Amino acid sequence: MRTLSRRTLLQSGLASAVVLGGHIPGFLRRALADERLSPSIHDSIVVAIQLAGGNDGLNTVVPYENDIYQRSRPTLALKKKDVIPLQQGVGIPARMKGVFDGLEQGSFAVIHAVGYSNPSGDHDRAMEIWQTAQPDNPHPETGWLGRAADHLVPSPKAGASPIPAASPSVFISEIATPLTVIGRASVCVKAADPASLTLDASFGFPAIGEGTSKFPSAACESLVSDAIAASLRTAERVAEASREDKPGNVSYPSTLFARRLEWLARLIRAELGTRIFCTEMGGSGPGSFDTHSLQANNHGELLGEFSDALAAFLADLARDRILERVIVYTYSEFGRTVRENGRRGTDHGSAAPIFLAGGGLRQSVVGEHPDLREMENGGVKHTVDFRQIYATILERRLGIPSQQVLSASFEPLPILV
Amino acid sequence: MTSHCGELHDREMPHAGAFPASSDLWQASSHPMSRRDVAHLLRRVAANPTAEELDGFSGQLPDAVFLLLTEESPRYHEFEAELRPLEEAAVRSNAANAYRTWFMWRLVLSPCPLREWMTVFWLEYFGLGIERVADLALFDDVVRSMRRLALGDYHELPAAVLLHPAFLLNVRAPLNYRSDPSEQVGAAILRTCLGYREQDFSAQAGELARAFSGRFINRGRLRVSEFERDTGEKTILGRSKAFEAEDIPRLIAEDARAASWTARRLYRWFCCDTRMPSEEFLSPPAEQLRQNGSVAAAVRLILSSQWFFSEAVRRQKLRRPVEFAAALLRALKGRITLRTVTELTAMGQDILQPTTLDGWSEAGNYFSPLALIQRMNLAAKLVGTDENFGGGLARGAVETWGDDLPNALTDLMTDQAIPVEIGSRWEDLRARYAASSGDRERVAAAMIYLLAVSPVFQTA
Repeated sequence: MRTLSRRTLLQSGLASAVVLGGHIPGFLRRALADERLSPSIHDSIVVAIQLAGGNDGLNTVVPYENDIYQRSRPTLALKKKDVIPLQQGVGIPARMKGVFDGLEQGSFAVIHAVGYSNPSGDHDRAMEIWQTAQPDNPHPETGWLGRAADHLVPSPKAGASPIPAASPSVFISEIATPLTVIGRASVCVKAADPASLTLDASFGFPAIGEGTSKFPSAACESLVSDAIAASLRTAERVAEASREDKPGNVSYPSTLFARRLEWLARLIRAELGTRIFCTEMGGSGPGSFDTHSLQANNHGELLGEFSDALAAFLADLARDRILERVIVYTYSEFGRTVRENGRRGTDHGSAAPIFLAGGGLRQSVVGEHPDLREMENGGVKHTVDFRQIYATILERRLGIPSQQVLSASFEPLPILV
Repeated sequence: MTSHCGELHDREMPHAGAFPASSDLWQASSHPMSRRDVAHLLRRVAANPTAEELDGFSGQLPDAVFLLLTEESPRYHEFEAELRPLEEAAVRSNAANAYRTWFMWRLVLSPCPLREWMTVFWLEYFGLGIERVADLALFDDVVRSMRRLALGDYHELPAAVLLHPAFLLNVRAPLNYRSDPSEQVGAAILRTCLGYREQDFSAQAGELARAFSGRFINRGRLRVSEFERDTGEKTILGRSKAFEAEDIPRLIAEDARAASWTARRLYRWFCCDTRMPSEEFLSPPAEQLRQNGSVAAAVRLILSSQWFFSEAVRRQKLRRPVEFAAALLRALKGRITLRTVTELTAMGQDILQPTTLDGWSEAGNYFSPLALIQRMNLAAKLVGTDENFGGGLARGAVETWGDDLPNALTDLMTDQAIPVEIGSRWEDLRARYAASSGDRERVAAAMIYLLAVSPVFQTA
């Protein structure tokens, strides 16, 4: 695994040599990142990407030299020529070249074998567990980022305005808002068409400071008046951030997922105070990552689409120097079986790798590729509990004590600056 | 008795005075209602008044209007019969969005609006969600019961809901074995009917769950297994006996805390989003529930009271997305479409799915900047000509009111008798409307939009 601690780096005296040399390889830059301050917990942004259907982890982070892998997947196993090497005998599909570049630059990372004990193989239940981080709760009502958003809205105390200054979370997609961002108090804004978040001026604009009844009991009206003024400022910022004639604009692929990410970048660039964003790829229901049959081409295409869009998104944020404040994570309900089924597909498994992207990543690969001899539900066993990643994001990026959101203590991983 | 009640927060507003100590303010108002009073009342019970209601109810006593609002007139029965085929078709084809649209139609068009909005109140009260129940026929059945009892017997209502199969599905407890009672059943009852917070549940959630053992939902039907019933003694709400599920609604209805909690929720629903008075202040409506067992009596007490018509209560409600859209469509007799309902869901308020068992979020949370942009955009779509959003709102208004449209709009959409400063753009549009011939609809649409997105229309 290609990681290097800051201490080792400094002890080796490489740091100054490399800096003086002008070119800083990605892995050294990541180690040097420890020298920087962490992205502020007051303005960091979390982007959740749901990959619905159960992404096949073994064909995403591929143990191409592993005999068990090759034997178990006679038509699906990727060969050395099909992958970009990542670690010894492990690589990512060549179609994911876009994010591999991010990996080189320190803005993309893979965490191996993420899951939880006694994993569910049911789409709905498994997705709910990932969304809520409450595998023991048979009746979860809120998602982990929804609960995080509840912490970010003003506390309901006397004297506080009941209207939040910023929209705490945004979800962009046509499907129903996932439980991930449902909070008890906070309201997630959903945009099926992201353009719906730009103000329609067909009939003019609301009049600021007008339309109130100027009566002592109209305190609510003044609050709303302030809120309308804030929303018009927000609309201006969104419009400015959406201008397509800016020099150096990043070109996104022409896919639906890429369009969603492009809009997310615009909203982030607009500095709206929103800290939590969510989008998805794969749709609702079982989702398009549910590759029970004829997986090879479909899955490759999905990963390519994902990778190209994410690479553009990261480049877009980097161009505006806001990538450092953003952390992207992906989740899917489960990985898939090690063994290929009779329909040239794979069935529901258990653990799988997840991706992190953004600024302040300490490592590009976290953990070891799972041992394919040790299986659970026909899939690989987890070595990292997904709630450790959530705890890390909560504490290192949102500044929220993770126990308050996860209702239990999980050791954060040393993956974020 | 303070700690048990759930999270209905008192957010003291700037310039808000203290709550008066005297409960004399619950005396019925003896003043005939002005147009402004009628508008205030109708904003709270029907989202917004119609022109006919403003004309028809002015000069009457609040109590008399309450009776008119709750009367199941022949027109109401005709309305029911007219809409029933739509309801049945949606249920038969398990079309949840069509059902949502039908439900919104009722909210906007019903001749008995108080009953419709009280149905929404109970839906939120019990946290019943169409997605959680996941069986449209069962959901429809329990909603019908709630509508029937919305202003009825306070003792009968919990029984109609808690003993209904939809309740167990709503809390994901279709299987209730004696050896493994579903504690979420007890937790849901404590939260929704009694306002307990989780830390106050103690052993009661388990005891309540035991009472529901032996109840199984199989293919949408309730099956009771005598073998799985826990017939042992349980201690619930301070009483010990071999209680069974059928006893629980009665225990709740007789419990002073339940009545107090319900009165608080009614107060929040009808009076104020921002401040909550003490339980002592709310004891008169609570007593109506507990002693008279009448929801109608409690609601009538609130809506007819001097307190309700005082300035302290006016304009203290923030319109959530559904109330906003319903208000606009009811005032101007617009059409409800599937797309409108979908937009409301995107704005965070699915009319048939309270966010959690505690209901939808507090109203202020629907006013974040991006949510307000969506709201303004919805207003633009509703007043525009897009058939997906009904189209024709402005055209209908021009046809109905002609030259008098500006006055009719301010009458319906602002606060009568109180000078509302809409600004120079309004005056400009007014002049253009008076002078125009060809583009009258367009100018009317701009006028409606300007009022719809003004602060005064976001409050009730």
